[in-house]
Amino acid sequence: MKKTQLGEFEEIVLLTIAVLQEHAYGIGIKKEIENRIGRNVSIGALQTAFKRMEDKGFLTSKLGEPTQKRGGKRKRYYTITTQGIQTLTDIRQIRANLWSAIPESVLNYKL
Amino acid sequence: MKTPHWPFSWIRKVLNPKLAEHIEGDLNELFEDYMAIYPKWKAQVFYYLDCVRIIRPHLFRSFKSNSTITTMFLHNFKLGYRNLKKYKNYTTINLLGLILGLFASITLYRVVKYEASFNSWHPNLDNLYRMAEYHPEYEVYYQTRTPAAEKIKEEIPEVLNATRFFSPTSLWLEYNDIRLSYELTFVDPDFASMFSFKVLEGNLEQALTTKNQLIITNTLSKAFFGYEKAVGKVLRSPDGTTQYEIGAVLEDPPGNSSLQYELILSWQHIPEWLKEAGDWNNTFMESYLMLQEGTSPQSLAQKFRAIEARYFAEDDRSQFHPVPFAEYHSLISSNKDTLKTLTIIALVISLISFVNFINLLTAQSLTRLKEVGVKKVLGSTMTHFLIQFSIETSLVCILSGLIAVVLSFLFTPLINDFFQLNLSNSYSVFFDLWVLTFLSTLVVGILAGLYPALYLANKNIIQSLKGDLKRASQRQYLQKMLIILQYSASIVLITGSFIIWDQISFMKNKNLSLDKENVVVVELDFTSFPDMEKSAEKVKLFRQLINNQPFVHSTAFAWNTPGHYDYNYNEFDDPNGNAQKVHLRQTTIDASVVPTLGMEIVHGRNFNETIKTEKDVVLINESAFEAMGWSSIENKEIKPHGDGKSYRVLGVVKDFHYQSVANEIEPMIFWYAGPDPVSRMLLVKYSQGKVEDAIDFLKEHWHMTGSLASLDYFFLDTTYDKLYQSEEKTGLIISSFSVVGIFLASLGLFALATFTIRKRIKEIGIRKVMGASSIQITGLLSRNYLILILIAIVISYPLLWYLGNEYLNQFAYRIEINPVFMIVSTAVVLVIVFLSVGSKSFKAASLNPSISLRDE
Repeated sequence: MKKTQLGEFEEIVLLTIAVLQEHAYGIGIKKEIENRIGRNVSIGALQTAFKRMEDKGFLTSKLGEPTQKRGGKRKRYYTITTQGIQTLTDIRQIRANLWSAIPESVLNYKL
Repeated sequence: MKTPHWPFSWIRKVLNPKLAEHIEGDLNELFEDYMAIYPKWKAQVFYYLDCVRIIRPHLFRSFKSNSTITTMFLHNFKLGYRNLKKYKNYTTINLLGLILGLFASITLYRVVKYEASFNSWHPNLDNLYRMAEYHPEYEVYYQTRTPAAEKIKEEIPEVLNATRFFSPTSLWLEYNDIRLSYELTFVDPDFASMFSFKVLEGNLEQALTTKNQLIITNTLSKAFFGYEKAVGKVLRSPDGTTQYEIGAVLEDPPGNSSLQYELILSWQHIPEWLKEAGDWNNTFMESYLMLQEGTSPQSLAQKFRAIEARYFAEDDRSQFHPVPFAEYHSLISSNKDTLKTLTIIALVISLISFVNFINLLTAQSLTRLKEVGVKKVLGSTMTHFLIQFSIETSLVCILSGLIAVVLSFLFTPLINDFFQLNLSNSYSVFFDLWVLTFLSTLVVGILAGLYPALYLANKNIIQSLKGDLKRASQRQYLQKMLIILQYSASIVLITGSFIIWDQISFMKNKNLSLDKENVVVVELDFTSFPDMEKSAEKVKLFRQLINNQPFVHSTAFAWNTPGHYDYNYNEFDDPNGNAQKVHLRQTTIDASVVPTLGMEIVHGRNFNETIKTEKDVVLINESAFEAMGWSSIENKEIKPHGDGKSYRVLGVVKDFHYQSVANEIEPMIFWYAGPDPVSRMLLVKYSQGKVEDAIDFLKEHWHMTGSLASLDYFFLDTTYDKLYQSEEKTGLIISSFSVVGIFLASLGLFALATFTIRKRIKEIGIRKVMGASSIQITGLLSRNYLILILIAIVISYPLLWYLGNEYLNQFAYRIEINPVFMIVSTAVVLVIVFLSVGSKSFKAASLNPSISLRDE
């Protein structure tokens, strides 16, 4: 079992980036997560997560074209790397193993 | 869409430049989304909040400087720190010495500041004067006559205000169930405008002019009234005869105020006896004047003389002598000795540490030489070396400075206790201390670093790399001088402590011509007795009862006990002879005092209680007998100068020490308390070993006296011991610091010796091979140092003789400096040096030559 290096929030962000594919940029990711999960995401936390995961090698990023909408500031698009996908898969595997080990009786708890 | 850019522009400064752009874009996009939903102001608020959320450490730019100059400069600190760790021993020694020296200096500084701060806050300070008197024979006396202040203010227009400040007794006051006694001070109304004490409640001026209005301190107010307002409340005397209304509440007088008070009443309340005793002939009144701005007391000399001529007695040669209040404290402060002691210690310890510092530095220079050589080859300049060494030395200095300040802070309660000071722990005091210490250690550190830099960096590069030092002899000369200095100082300190201790034990054990053992003294404060007449009878009965106890040897009444005599003097004439205006100290005793205290009568006889009609008689001591020029006691009388009445001199008491043996025994006169006496102090001499019985008895029966106060007593022998407290403290300090001094000096010497021996290790190996024994080699190595020590000893002897005698001359009864002390301290020093250097040399000398001669 490989040691996973992602926190819960980071995992979600990474997954979302994988979902959004080429449309994964700051605000887009933020909205997507908020829609799916229903809790507010802080811009700061998000940016920190991006930077950390990029430093760890789970993401790559590049700047896009400037648009009028953002006052002429370019967007930074994030793409998940193979390493990132591998890490996500590992996490999923671990979770799956644990889930399958839970006996029926615990899962079907009915009062 | 316009976005409010300015919050972000601040944040942009701290953000990592790579991220700044897209983050800004994201924030703008969010803002526009907000604008679509919310009103503008709300959108802006959300924008600000978003900006704030962006501030996270992971997103910051790197604050590291890229400039080479900064990098190199900072590198010096790294280097400096590493060097210090490398030569840990040297660093520790330096640190230790510096910290101790600085600690002593800092304490000195704080005490000096404290002493200087006395009375400093009064706005009129420059124009305030304490009225003193000057007499050609008796010098300056800091009291004056009672009517003087008023009269001077009346007659001299340049004297704007004048007040008396007199604290003769305590006053018992009652409020509801609380009954307490406090010291009472009488002042004139001008007190309010002359001195500035914070008025917490009420009106000071008014209270000082209204009858039966009392002024109290904050502590007093809390004691009686808790947190309630005090002004307007009424305190009564316990017998119910007098009532006082609180007119004002003042702050507690600060520790550095010469004027200390608890209760204040205006002069109109003075007791009858003071109205009588406060005449132009008795000099006991504390008074203060405030002069007009710009007036000097000298300019008023003539006017003073005019008043003196009119009111003083014909042959009274005293003169008014106003002393600036700003200087008053430093003139009378008992802390002068403390200052002297601290100065000596600070100087000596600093000297020793400084010497160590230099010596260790020069010793290291050989090793550093290679480092300097290499650096020069690589292109370093002189400036670089100056900076590098300065930083190294500064690090040590500043660090020791900081530690010393912290230590000083921590030790404040101890210091206060020991020296009886009131140094504050407040941060304002400490702020300027931190700054001062930091700056001075920085400067010293830098300067100290310049020396090795200049010395080392000047060497020829090739010579440096070879490790060859030509002018070693010069350097060694300096080192030797310094070592001699260190050890002389240490020897002086050690012998000094011996001398001090010897003097103290001499004083404590000297025959006082008085029996101070087994005497307990009960203090009878007259203000604590509700009814004077009835109380007197009760006290006499109390005394009788005690006297009859089997464990009591005898009892006696006296106004004062030896050790506590007042500064009460008068001038006396011989009505039948030549002696005129002989200055005698006075006290009053009853007939039992002489036998109870084992005093000896050398001429005539003691007072005799059984002769009920015996009155108008006195005793004098031997010194007085000589001063009167008498050879026998037959028919001798004595008369207070200016008085009509003569008194018969019954007998002469052998001189006894009534104060510290350090003081001369003055001529004294003993007034008679009468055949049926009662007085302020009751002396009880109990049988050997019966002290507990005596005290228990006193405690049990104290209530018989009807005093409002509880039993207050002290032992006569402890009083005497206390007299020497300050000398004992000095002795303790000097002893401790002599140990410290010699410790530091030895550390330094040890380090130096280690270094030198290491250098000579090959030589030692060769000598061993050639057949020298370990002992011979040890002798060879140690010889140099022993010679230095011997020189130091020789130098210190005359210094010691001079300083020792100077110190001892302040004592009226002193020892002679015992040469044994010098010998003992010499031996101590020699032993220590022998152990430190000798052991190291021996170890080196015993090394197997094959190890020491091994090629590196």
